[in-house]
Amino acid sequence: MAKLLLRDRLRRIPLALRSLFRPRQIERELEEELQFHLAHETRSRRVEHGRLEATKESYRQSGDLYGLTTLVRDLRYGARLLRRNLMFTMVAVGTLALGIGLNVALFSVVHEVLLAPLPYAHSDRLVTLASSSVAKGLKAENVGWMTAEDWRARNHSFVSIGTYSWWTPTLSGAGMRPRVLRGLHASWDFFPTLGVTPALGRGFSKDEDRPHRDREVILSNAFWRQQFGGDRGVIGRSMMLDQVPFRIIGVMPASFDADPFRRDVALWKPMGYDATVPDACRSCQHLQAVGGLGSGVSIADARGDMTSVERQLTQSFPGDYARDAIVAMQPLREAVVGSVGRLLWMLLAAAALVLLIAGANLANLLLARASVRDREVALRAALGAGRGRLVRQLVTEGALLGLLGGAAGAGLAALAMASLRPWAAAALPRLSHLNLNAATWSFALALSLAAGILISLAPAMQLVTGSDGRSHAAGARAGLGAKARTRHILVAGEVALAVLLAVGAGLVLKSFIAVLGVAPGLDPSHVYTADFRLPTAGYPNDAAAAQFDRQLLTRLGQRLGAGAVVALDSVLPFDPGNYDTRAYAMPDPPILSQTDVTRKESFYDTYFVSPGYFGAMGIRLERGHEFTDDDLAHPGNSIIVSESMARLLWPGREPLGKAIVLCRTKDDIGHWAHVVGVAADVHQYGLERPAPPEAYVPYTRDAGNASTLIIRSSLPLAVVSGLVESTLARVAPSVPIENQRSMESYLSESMAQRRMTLELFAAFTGLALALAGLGIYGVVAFTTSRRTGEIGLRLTLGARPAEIVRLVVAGSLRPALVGIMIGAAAALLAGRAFTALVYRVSPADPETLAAAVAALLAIALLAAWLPAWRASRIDPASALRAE
Amino acid sequence: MSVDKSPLLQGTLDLLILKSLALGEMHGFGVSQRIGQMSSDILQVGQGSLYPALRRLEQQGWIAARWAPSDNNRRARFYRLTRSGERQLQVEVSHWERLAAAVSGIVAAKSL
Repeated sequence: MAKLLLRDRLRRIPLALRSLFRPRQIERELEEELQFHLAHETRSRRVEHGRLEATKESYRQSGDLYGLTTLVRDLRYGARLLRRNLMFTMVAVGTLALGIGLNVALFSVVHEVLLAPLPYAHSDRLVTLASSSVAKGLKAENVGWMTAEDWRARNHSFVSIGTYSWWTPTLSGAGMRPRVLRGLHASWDFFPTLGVTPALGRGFSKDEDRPHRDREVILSNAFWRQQFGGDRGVIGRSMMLDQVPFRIIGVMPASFDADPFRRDVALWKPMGYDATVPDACRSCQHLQAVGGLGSGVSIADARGDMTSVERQLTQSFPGDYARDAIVAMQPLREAVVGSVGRLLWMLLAAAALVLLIAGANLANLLLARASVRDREVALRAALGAGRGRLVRQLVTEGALLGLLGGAAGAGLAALAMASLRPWAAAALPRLSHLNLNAATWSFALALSLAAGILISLAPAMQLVTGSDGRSHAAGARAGLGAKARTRHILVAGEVALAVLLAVGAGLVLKSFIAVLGVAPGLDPSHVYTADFRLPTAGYPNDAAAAQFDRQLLTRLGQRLGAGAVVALDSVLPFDPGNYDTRAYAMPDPPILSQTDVTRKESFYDTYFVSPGYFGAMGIRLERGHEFTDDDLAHPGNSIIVSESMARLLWPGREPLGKAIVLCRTKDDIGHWAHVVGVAADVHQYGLERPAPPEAYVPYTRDAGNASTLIIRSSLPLAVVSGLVESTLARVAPSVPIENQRSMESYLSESMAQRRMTLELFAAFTGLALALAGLGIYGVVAFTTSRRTGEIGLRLTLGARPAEIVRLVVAGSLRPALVGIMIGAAAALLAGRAFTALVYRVSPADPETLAAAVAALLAIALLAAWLPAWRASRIDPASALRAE
Repeated sequence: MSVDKSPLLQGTLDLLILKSLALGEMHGFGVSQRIGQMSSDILQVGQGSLYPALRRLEQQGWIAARWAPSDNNRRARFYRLTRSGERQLQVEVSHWERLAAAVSGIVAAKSL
């Protein structure tokens, strides 16, 4: 074929469009052309009307460039069919909409959390770094300042390493209530490492990142808009933070508000690290680090490099590092997303299973309809439509159905996401804004088309193998057997998938119950908590702060009345925000046992608690007593340990009266403290994590530090909160109070992810079971309706209705049973995938499997029995007449 | 022999139409007339195959069409070869010549 010149190629486009959009005009022109032709025919041949029609038809086909005209015609025809069978259309579109909507909503979550790029330049080159040891593995999060400095100087892999730590300054000003803000100390190269620059003003200079020079702040876009109304003249102004003026030098871009790395940070100040204070030892780890790999450096390269750097450090400072010290590194994306990735993929897989089940149901429905359409198909075949043409028609109809379902599904997904957002945000990282974006739309479109085409394949294949030029009647009958087989395979398949989902839901439910069964070690009901902090200015020394604390607790005790217990604490159990602050905001005095000469592995979680803490928190004291005011007057002399800590340090011996060394740092000589009580173990890090060895020391505060108020009272939370606010306003109006919450809310928040998983799985499984039941019902009802004559005959010949029921049910249960067996086997094989979801339950839990199988059996029996029962009640005479 | 009754060899109709249009622009009836004249009335192309073929060739870009008044002042659709069509004609002619030579070689063979 000759090459088509561009000019002639372009000429084709308007022609194609014309045949698509102006079919009538084209017909009119053809008519005119034919009339012209006939008028000139010399031999006045009589052309019959039929022949002209044939010409027109082949003329139409020859004009179908790119097959568009046929497509439009098929779509029109399909739409007409759907309109005519409104009931069928509504059922099909509704089913598809549910399945597709579920998947689209979950995909948008997966996309937002796992797939969308982080808002940094080169986000895949960013890596978190932390000091760790072989024993501790990759769990470590922190690093000391001097160590980080040495890493910077000695490594060959990173362009830069930024460090940061939490900073919670109190904002004050004329005529405003003081507020505690969430901020970060950031090294000068923190923003350059992430590859972000302020939208307004500038970043920190190296010179500003020095002790006592660090009086600059950069604001987040959200805080800037909220506090300063988005005033661009804010640069250069000052604001009072912890009673000290800070100069505003920059505002970050709005895109950085969604910084998934450290959410909801309002402002940053230079690190300004003072290496001369006692807390600044080499082994004191209160910073976090993020590094930007050089181009072409893989994380494996960097690991090798940093291992040798750490080996040098271990040799130079053997007293400060564990012998097996390593640098724990993790791609930033993994660190941000955490363990949620597998959970989300599991949930998406579960949603996909629901869609598959829905699809199998629809395919069955279409098959049933196809047998009604046999005559239409046969007629069209007789009129000369090729088999390919007919298949194409069916697939186009399926795609149309899929698109309708997809459009409704996207609507459902948008609705679902509006309600999903706050709910999932509690359980998942990175979910600050969830919406339908281009990626989600493409996914929805692809899914709709795929679903529509897949469900039309079964009837289409039937067409190919079925009516093959044989007489219509013979074709129909032969097709009936094959159709029944296809239908049974589809039912077996959807039952198998439903078993798989039911097993998953069972495991999730059992795990949830197991987690609920864990005793937290404290009694969270009727406990009110709130954070507050004392400004350094009003309370210059520890004695003044202690005076304030005593005064506040006494006043509150008086106002709340008898029965209320009031206490103070440094760190609340289950509070995820506190994992980071613990080391920095409240440097815990590490504890060393008397016998532990080598001073290794002897740092334990330590909590500062006031007298009355154990009563207020509902923590059982196994032995000894709470701290008294006398202990408070001589802090450091007494200590309360948890049961597991007592077991660890003095196995099988009486812990009361034993002494251990308390020291703030490794270099601190420390002093002796005596055990005055043994408390029950508390699951500080959440119910699913084992309770660590815990120690409690009398509450002392460094002025300026935050502390938590704990009140156990039978009064409602709102009443307690009102009393606290009014008391505080009278005692110290300049002290901000934040975060007034019930202890129960912390506990339930720590279970948010598990609850979300359970609720989603329960919903999916409910849908799957309903769909599987409907699928079985549909097939049995269809077959019995075809067997009406036979059943009528049996009844006439004396069969009892019960026998008919047994006959039909037994005959139709086979595909369901096969499906159940396949599903059970698949669930056992898939057990490994479930390990991410379970807690103290075996993925191959026999009870769960048995329950899932029983549920499906019951549903299958019910779904088969209903139509069987109806069939057994027919009037034999009329049934036979119908035949 | 009528083209409508015994099917032409696949693609031959396209060649005939392109060839007749090579002589100049004309309407559909003219094309069928000219094919008849040039083949001494052996080949007759009826409207049933002519117009679908014309449309197909137009869609493929080998010919272009426009409405214009005819000799008796009736409106008619006139077809002409495009530049691409001229090349396509050469391609089809050489194809045909090879085919014809091959077929007559077989037919002329004495021992079959």
